[in-house]
Amino acid sequence: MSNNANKTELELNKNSESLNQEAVFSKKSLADKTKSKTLKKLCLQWQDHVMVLPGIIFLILFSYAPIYGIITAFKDFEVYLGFWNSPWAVNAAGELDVFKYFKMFAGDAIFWKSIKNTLIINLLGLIISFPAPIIFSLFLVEVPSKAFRKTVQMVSYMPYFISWIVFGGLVIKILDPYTGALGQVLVSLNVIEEGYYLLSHPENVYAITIISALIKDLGWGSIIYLAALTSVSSELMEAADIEGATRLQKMRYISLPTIMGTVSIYLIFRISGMLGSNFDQMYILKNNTNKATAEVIDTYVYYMGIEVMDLPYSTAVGLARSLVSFILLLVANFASKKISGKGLY
Amino acid sequence: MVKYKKSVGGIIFDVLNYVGMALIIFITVYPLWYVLVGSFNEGLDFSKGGVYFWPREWTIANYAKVFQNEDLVNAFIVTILRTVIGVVTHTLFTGLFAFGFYKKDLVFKKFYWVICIIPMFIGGGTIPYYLWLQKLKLTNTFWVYIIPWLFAFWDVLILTSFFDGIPQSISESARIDGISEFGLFFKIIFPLSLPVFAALALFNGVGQWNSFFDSLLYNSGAPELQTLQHVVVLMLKSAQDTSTGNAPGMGHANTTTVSVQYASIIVSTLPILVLYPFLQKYFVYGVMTGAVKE
Repeated sequence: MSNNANKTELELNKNSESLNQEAVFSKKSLADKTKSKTLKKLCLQWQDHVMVLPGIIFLILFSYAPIYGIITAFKDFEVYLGFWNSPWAVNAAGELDVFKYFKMFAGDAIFWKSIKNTLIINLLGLIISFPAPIIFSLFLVEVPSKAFRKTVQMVSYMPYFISWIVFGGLVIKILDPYTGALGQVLVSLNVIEEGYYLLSHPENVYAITIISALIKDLGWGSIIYLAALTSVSSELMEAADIEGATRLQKMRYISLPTIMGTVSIYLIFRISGMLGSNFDQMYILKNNTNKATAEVIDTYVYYMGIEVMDLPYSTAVGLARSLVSFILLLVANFASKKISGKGLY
Repeated sequence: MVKYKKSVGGIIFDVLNYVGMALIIFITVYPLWYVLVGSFNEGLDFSKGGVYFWPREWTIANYAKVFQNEDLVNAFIVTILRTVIGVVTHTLFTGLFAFGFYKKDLVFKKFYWVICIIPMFIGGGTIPYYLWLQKLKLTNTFWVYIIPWLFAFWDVLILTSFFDGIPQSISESARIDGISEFGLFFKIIFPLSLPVFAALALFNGVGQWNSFFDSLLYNSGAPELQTLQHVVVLMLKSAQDTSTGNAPGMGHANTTTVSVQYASIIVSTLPILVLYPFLQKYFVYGVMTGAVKE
């Protein structure tokens, strides 16, 4: 009996040895097999890769290549010399100073004003325009009549599809004290003097910017939240009813927490965009008399780059801004994860 | 929605809600309505003020003047062309990419993913991009409106998530019948995905129609290529700078053209206003599809 057992053991050992050897051999050929498998797959999939290739080329051409242009911020750039041949930035004394343009905007009063305006508009926007679609959607779902709800929705989306040129044009025209509906009403109510054009005066710019953006984006911004609100648990709602909760209470304790995830994501975007602005909006609302408060970073970058044609300066500002925005994104995402456990990634 | 017993508080809540929503509708619609009314009102009469809800002196003279403005008519044509050509080329370009890209066992897929994702976070910036387009000889051309608009990864994400919902069996049986991947896309997948493509095309179309920044930045040196919004802005700004001038009489000098300005504004957004009620469900569908993915 034990002889048989020994024999079997020996056989087993032998078998496992040869199996090991086989395993080593097949590992090697497995790698080869995988490589040739990949190649074979590639050939079979050639049509898919042909479909994908133009997009990749596009990205290289229009998304990656322009990044090289950042070098403009560090050079005394001349258009006719191009990226390669323009000399590295030198300061007044003729010494190499690649950060020359960064120092330049750091000492530029208008630049700091544009930062101030951008931040104020965005912070006010955060306090007023960010919660607005949330509140709007919370109340909209409470409207009993479906027809009315749909009408309100449809109307509220409309300003989103009008360009800021047109919408800004509407704002400009309606505020005109002589020919605009709102302007005339305000004059006749003695809120403003006759001939007082609100947009000519810097002190009104923040308010006009916020309110016009509010109207324009309210409906569209609410779509996401309305979609999120459809996942509110009806069992919770019923339980709340049994407990005698008011509509406002249900809104605050059930509906709002349900959409908090969505809110967090958009809040992160908002914070990382603190240094950005809606160029179209600010461009049209800005004029010669309200520049003190209407000039934002985006319009200043445009002005310095395209109108004044100081390209390195403008690039330096844009670069600095992108860097800070990226840091804000990381910070905001980190903070959001710490607070609510939810983040972008 | 759950039916519940109406309390007094509940009724007050509803009434206030209705009133609030009605107010929102009014504030949203009125500015546009006002300009529409003004555009149909005789210029000098309108400048006297008091026309709020309905034209007092009907006329279409303002619109006639708009279409006599060569710059505006030209910009109108340019904008129509870029919208149509841009949407068709974009849909084709991005759609094909999405179809190849969504294949589950695509070789190099991860590599492609990385290439696509990075630009969503890093970019060159306005000026480097402008310089680069200049280098590519795209500035002061019509094609600057088309070529940079060919691809959008955001659309790819929406499309691929939709394609994932199409049963594999359809594709498989077509392949067994000997169809090529290109044929599969054009004959089967694209028709099946029409709602998504329609939604994306509409967004793209609105973006093209409303575009102003690229015309301003890249084609300021080519007035005949400027878009509708760009021309309208130039018109509004020159009027604005005059009417915010210091002399009290200055504003009035332009009031006969206020109605024409209004008509120009309406014309520049006309297709959107007209098509909006019919197409808005596609827009919402598009956003939902993107949103649900999150």
